[in-house]
Amino acid sequence: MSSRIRPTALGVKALAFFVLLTVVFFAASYSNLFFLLLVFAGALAVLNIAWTSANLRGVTAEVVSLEPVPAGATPVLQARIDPGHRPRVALEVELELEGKRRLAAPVAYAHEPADVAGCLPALSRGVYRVVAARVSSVWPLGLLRASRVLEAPGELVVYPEPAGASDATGGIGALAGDAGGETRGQPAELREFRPGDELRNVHWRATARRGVPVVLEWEGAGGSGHEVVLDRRAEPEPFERALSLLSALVVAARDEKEPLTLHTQDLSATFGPGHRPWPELLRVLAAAQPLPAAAPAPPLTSPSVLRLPEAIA
Amino acid sequence: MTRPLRFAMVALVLVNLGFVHITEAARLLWMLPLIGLTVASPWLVRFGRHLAYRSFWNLGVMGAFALLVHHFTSRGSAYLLEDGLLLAALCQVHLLNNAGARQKPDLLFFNSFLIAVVTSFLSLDVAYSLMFALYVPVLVVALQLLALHRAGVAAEPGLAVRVVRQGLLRGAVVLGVTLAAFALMPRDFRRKGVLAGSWTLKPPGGMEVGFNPTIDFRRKGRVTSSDRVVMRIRRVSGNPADVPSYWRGAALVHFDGQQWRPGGRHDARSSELWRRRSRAEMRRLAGRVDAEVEVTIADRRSTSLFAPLRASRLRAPSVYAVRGYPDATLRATLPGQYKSYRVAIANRVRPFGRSGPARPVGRLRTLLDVGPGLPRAGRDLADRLAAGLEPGASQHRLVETMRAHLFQNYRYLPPGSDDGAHDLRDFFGGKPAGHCEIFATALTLMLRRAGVPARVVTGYCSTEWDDEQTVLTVRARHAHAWVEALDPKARWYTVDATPAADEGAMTAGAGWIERARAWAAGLWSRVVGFNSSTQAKVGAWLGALPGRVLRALRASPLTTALGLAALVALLVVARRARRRGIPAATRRYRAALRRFGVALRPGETPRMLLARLQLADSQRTVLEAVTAEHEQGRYASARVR
Repeated sequence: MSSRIRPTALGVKALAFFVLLTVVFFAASYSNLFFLLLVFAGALAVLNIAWTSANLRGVTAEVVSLEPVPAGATPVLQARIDPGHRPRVALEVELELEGKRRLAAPVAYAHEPADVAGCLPALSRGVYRVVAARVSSVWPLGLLRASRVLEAPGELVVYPEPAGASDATGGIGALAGDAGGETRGQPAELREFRPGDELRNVHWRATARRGVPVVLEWEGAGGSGHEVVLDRRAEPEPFERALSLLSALVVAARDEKEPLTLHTQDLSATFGPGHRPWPELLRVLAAAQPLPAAAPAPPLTSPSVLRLPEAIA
Repeated sequence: MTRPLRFAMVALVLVNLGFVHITEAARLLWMLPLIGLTVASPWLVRFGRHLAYRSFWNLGVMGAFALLVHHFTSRGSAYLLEDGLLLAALCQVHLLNNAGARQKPDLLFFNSFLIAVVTSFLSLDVAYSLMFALYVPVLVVALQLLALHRAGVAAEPGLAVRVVRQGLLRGAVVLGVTLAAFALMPRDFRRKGVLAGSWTLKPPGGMEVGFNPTIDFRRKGRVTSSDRVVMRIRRVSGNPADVPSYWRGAALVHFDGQQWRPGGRHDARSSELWRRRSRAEMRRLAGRVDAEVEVTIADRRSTSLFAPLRASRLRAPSVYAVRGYPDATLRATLPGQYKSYRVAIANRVRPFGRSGPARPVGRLRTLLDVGPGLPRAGRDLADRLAAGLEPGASQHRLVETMRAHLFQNYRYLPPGSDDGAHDLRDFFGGKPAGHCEIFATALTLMLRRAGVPARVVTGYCSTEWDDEQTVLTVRARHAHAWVEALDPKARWYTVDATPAADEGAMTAGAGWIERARAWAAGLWSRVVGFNSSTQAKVGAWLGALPGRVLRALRASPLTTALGLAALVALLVVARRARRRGIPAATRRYRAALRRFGVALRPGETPRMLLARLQLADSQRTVLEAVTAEHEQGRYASARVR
């Protein structure tokens, strides 16, 4: 694929400077030394085009991964650059995200295939479209950037920051317990915590009321899995908290390799092993927006299913 | 900012200060603090986070700017370029000492180029070529390090060395391409600028040794001498001996005791008048042309066109609007640019269209007017020397006697010397030493006292030929004043009583450094004085080159074979040097892949490749070995990548 050459910010300034000098040259009478300097600047520009192109010619690169990241964490781009048959200087794989954000993975000097990584300052929740992915170089003079388009993921998913266990609303453990839903059978009784009990079974609200750890025992537990209803008819602030807690639940379910079923206004699906992939659910969370109160309700489910953000109100 | 980039910027600014220095826009004493601040900048820049430090710099630059504005308002635009250059240099040092996260270094690079451009207007000296040759690689290296810095990669020591090496090579390539384009690009060498008419600078009134169209003994103060090249004279035809050392700029006739002024039409009948033949050509003497020279005046502010006394023809672009004066001097009415013109010299000539008998001296009263300028001691000396000659002695003998007396009994001292005479009263009183203007004045008035028409001439006297005796370089310090006497046959001739007038003799027989400098100066003069005829010659030479090369190859096959072998060896060495950055293990691994006709897929590791391939046992063994060696070099080597 052919490469493209564009001036960098420094190159644009240099071009403006060169034009200005040319105007001055023609405003003044001919002078050999002034002409020599202008020719020097022109030669530098022309040779720079050749050198910059040559530094990129024969280079291959690919984006290895662009994993979804939680809000507040640093997005990481992992790429691989193969310099080809000779050493190269100052190559980089860059992703241009919407909103003029740039994610670059540079390598100073490559004489053999190299794995490179680059990161971006933390982003807020959302789905960021990848406008372009390129391997590029400004070497040697920094006035021009030669680049070639790469295949890359179409977007960067920044899902809600997972709430911690000490969250004021009762915590992920309680939510995990509540979200057990029908797949765990019916809640039987509350009893004091005993060593060996799973953290997910801690009932945080009861624990808070009694002042000692309390767990919820289940009757007729019928297998693993979580089920959550996300009602998007909510105010922004509780909605974000609900997403944060749901995100934590998703992460926990993923780590424990348990499926999670999500019901919301326009989606009712199960994610996890044997179901739809986790990144899809993370994308749903990243893109979720609150709906007005008049919007339709989410699908009907058993009353025992965790309902967000109602459960944390 | 990385350390290599910081040091490259220091080098760039030092080169800029070198540019400023060769223009002599500021004395070395003024430059030293700037040099010190430049060299110390890697240490000083750490204070950049303090407001007081930044304020100090900003106030300093503003103060310097105010001083330069004051200079401009008090001295006019004569030093506009020099002042601008100084300000640019100060800004460079300021930028260097404040470059960092807040202050991008971009401006420093553009400013450096601007300084090179402005310097080209102020200096045509060979020193400029050296500074330019130094500037190019430093600029390229600094730009490369800036590119690395911008790309967000750290220039490790090994990489920095590689960058510097590549930068030097690239600088040489750019220089070569620049010179080739400069020589071959078609252009109008006589183009008049759009603003050339209105964009002029007035002549300076400084105290530097240099050409002065008048002489004023009331001017006092420190006088500096400069090596600045003000004129180059390239011999086009004739022998070097036929090109005079004395190049006239002004002829002075009236002396009021302190000041010499040019004459009006005083000697209109006696001078060898310039007559215009066409818009671009003037003539004044008839006779065979002994030599022809091409003169390039590097002093942009000069309006005088210098020519020797025996100049017979002048060809100059019509845009100069040259005027000839009765005293045989020439002036152009187009200041503000370099001037280049051709002068034919006829040493054995008669006055153009005038070969009549000698005219009565009595009609040349102005040229015999002693006025109040010659003190009694001078008059007595002139009378005594004239009386000492035998009756009927020729005028030449009288002139030579007086010249020799001053030359042998009085000492030369540079202008501004405390021990030297400030006027003729001192000179003939208790200080028998002085500079050329004193000698010329004394001799002129003594000759007039003895009845010989004479005038003072100012201009340049140089014998600084290059080795090939093709280019005569004239520097500011070659400025000189001498005497012209009118013989009874109405012919002017040059008389010089100043003992140290022949400065060129001091450099004759100098060592190889001086010879190398003269050679470089001659070469540079070809660049500075490049014109359409030179370009045509270069074009013709290049056009004939293939034929010459072919003839040479046919003439000596052994040399050709050796040359080709050397070329191949050079290419092999270059290829090896290029691949030196790749470890041997990696090269062997790649060679094995090529040999077996396989290649890594994007993202595939050597181990994955081994697992994927179906190879014969022998091939697999080889590939496993080179893979292991490659991995050893890749992951277990201490080499910094």
